[in-house]
Amino acid sequence: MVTERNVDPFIDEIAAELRRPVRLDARFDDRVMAAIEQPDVIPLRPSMMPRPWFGRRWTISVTPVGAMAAAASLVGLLALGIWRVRDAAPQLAADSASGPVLTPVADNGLQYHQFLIVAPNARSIMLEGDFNDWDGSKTELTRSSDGVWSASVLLRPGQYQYQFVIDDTLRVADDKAPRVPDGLGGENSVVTISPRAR
Amino acid sequence: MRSRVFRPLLALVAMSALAWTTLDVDPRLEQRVDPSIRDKVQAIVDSAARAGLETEPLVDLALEITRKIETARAQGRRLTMQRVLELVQSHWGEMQMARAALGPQSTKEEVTAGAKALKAGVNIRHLERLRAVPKGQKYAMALSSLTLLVDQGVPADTAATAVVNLVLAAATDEQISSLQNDILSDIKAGMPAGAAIMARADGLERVIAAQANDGGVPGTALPSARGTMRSADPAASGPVAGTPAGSKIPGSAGEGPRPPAPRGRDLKRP
Repeated sequence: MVTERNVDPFIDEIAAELRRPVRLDARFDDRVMAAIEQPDVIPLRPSMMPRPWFGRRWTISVTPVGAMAAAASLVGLLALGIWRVRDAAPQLAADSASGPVLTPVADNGLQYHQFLIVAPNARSIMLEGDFNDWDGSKTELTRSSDGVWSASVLLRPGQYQYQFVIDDTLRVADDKAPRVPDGLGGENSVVTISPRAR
Repeated sequence: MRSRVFRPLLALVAMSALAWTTLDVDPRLEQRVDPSIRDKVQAIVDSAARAGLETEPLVDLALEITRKIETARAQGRRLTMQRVLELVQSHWGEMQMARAALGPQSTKEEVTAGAKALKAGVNIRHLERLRAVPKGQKYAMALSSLTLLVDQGVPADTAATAVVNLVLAAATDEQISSLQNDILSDIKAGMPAGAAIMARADGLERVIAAQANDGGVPGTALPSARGTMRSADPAASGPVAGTPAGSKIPGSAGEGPRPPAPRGRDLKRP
């Protein structure tokens, strides 16, 4: 066992020197406090500054089964998203086809069709059909000075059924177009958009 | 340990199911169709989607009938929203029949058009003949024209035989569309509907046969009465009753091939 009594005298001398109290001058405390109170006395590096919650690192523990389940869910949601977008594309196209559209016609078969009706005494006329979800507010006809109401609609080749709604109450078929029964005892008009010869 | 694995798994499955359900609700049905039948209509739409068929015609029908019932009620007519469901169910049934008749190679559009043809009164055996159509040849437009012609009074069997023959002879959509417009003009001019379709369809069949024999480009020439070829001539399309503005068909006037007019011909098919 090593004690102070049996250590080397030289070491004992060093220890005694280290134990000797250091005498500080009377203004030492003041100088230290003044240095601390200076704001830039210890410049903090950015890495030492406390980060906000969104900047902190997280550690997540995941089991292999959990990781596989998460991956499978992500793949499933991605596939669902692709499927939905692909499925929604025709509907988006149909929506864009409703109402008077003034954009240039691309080479995708879309063609303008002008719907006309003569009704000098009408206050408003809307066009409802399977090209605009039977929602007349999407396609209102414009009146010209001679009582002719019209609207141009961009349509793909195919057949469409429609009716005019006069003053929000009266439903009428187009007497210039072929008609088909509508299942409620009334008639829809039919417009055929022919594919253009290429 | 077990809960550590299954809880996140369960949460992910639940979230996926919720996302699926939320995405699948059609907002138009949600907003416009009566709550008393909405779920049942949505269930039919979902069935169509699962079967790989078009859902838009079913949604459209529900929106159309709902809208019309609302207008009728505003005028004092008594109509129940149950009618919406009846018509959607009926159309779904016709779509299933059309798919069965046309076969699995048929497209969504063809099944939809076939369902409308069945509703108009076309016999299912005519649709079954379309199974022989080569893969890649589309005939939805032809079925739509057939339906319209039947609705205009053309006898269903006569119209279906003629149109299916033309499809099997590889008539193009442009040719069928022109044929439809010509027949409608003939009917408007006073020609019996059955006679009009027989004459026009016969003329188009001869055009197609001549093109096949001649090796010419389809739809560029018409046969004359003497059997020689001449350029397509819209004026030769028989009675044209002045297509009114409201029913004007873009691209139909003189742009496509037309069969010869039925003038001076024996309209009875041999």
